[in-house]
Amino acid sequence: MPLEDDLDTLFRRYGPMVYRRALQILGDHGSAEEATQEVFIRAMKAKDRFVAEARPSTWLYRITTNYCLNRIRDSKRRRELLDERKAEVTPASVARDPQKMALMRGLLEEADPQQAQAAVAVFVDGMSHSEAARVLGVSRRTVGNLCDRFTTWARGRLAEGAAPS
Amino acid sequence: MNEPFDPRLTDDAPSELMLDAYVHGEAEPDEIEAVEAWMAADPANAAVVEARRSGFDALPEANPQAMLARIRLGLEAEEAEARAEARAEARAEARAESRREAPAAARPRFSFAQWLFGGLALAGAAAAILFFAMRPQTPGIEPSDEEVLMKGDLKLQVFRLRGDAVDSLLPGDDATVGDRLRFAAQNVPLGPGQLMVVGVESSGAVFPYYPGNGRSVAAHGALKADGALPGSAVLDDSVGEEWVWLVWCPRAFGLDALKPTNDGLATRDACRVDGLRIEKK
Repeated sequence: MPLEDDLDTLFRRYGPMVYRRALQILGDHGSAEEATQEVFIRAMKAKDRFVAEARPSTWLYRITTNYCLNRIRDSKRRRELLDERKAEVTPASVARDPQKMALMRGLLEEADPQQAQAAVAVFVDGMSHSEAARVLGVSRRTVGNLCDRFTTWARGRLAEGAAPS
Repeated sequence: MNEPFDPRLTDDAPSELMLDAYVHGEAEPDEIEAVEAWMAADPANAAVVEARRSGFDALPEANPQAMLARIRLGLEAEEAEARAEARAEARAEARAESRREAPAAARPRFSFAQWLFGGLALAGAAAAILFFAMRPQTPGIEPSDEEVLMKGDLKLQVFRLRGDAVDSLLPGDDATVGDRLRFAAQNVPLGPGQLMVVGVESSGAVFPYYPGNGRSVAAHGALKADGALPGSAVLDDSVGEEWVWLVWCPRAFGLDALKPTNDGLATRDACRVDGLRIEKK
């Protein structure tokens, strides 16, 4: 599937998807807008590297997820998230359980990056292991292992007492 | 927590990515089947898919116009940075080339007497330079606040973007590495004509600011309604005095048509110029 060269067309078509994904992971509209902007700047710069056989939605999903996970890992962002949890903003179309999503964000800040990617794909997005394997470029078995390790780690982290920050 | 933590946030609904692939016509047949079965199971599910089809209309808190404008600005800034890097590389290459053209072995050697007389001559030259430097400068060579431009004179404006602050530069103002410069032109002659913005280093090296390829562009095609030129230039780490020149000519021209002189910038006949001196720190 070809990727539109024109920024307007690409943005009109996939902007809402990128924004929604960023909102789901980051949890507030301002950060989602910033992430959307950054994702499209990166996408336009890297569009020559886009493989024509891939789906644009999958490609943009990957850029968005990586960007947002990096973002929530940075320490400044961590402090902001603590405040945001007090006034969680998550429309019904994006997060089905806002409190749990806030807890997940706290965990994703600290999780191993590869495990965090798999956890977002499977637990947050609801992908099957096959779907996540295709998106992440790993085997189904690897996705299963990463998710298991994330779950074990998250349970241990929560058992330590307080919610992660 | 009594029950073990279950990280799953979703039920048996198709994944977010599958829904997006479906909406954008990128889904595989088995995915289409899964999404359509899910939609048929509950009108609320169908509504979720419909919301995705309506794009930003279903996300009233988002401001797509502002986002798109900032994406364009970001891409412009990236391009300007790339141009600045290319310019810096070209300058470094030109300096290396000139050093190669004058190898140390070919430099003349001087006897003690020649050094002595040479030293005296240099001292005289320095005195002459001081003398001329103390004299009032020729109007027009170095524009200043007080300078009155005749109505219709070409006028260059340079805006410096530093962080979130934007300033209009005055002659002698400083700029530093990472500052972004934007240019505007006022009183551009009506009718067909070409323009370019160039920088002239204290070494006399001329390089293009706008457009980056060193070839003039059609003036009225490039200028926005407020006289602004598109894009911006990010300053590299070279320091010292630099002149920024706006050049307008009736016909197309290139960098080779512009020669820095002691008085300013020499151009072809019928061209007009306006310049601003900045200090790069």
